[in-house]
Amino acid sequence: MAMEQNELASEPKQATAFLVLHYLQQEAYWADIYSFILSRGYQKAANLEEELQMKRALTDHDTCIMAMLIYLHYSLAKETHTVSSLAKAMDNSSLKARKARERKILRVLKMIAGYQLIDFYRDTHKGDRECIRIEANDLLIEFLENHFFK
Amino acid sequence: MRYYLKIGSAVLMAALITLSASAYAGVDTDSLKEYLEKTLKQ
Repeated sequence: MAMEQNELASEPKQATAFLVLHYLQQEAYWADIYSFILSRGYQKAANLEEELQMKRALTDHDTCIMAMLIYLHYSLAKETHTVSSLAKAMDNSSLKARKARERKILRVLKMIAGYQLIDFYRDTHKGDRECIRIEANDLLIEFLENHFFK
Repeated sequence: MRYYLKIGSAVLMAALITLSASAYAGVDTDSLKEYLEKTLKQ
């Protein structure tokens, strides 16, 4: 009986393979955002190296997660993320990790600013604390709602 | 001279390992899971 169970466990499950494939495909579709913004009139930067770096930052897996979290917060809670709250959602394992994530988020936001997908600006919380607020632009919302999930 | 070269390469290797470790900072799935659970409860 135990041997049979071991044999079953070692057999690859078709359903799982399908789910894995679907998950990976969905991840890969994030790269379509670049052709999407090009189709919406984005003009590439004159410096090819700079454009490649921007594209790389945009099509990165972490940027995909960032964009989806920004969208989720906007659509479910009707609120905007701040750099701090987004960093907390992405890496709250330690204060050091969160601060490093905040720096990384800011770096990515600055890198992809030219694509006009995500707006960010200095603001204040209800108290007096300063923050950097992040908002999904119409272009990002349209991509996620109509072109990303297949 | 060889001694200094060995020390130099060891220091360089240690620096590279530290750099690559700090460069790896993907999304922490525990934090993400916690955030999503909290968001879905609201």
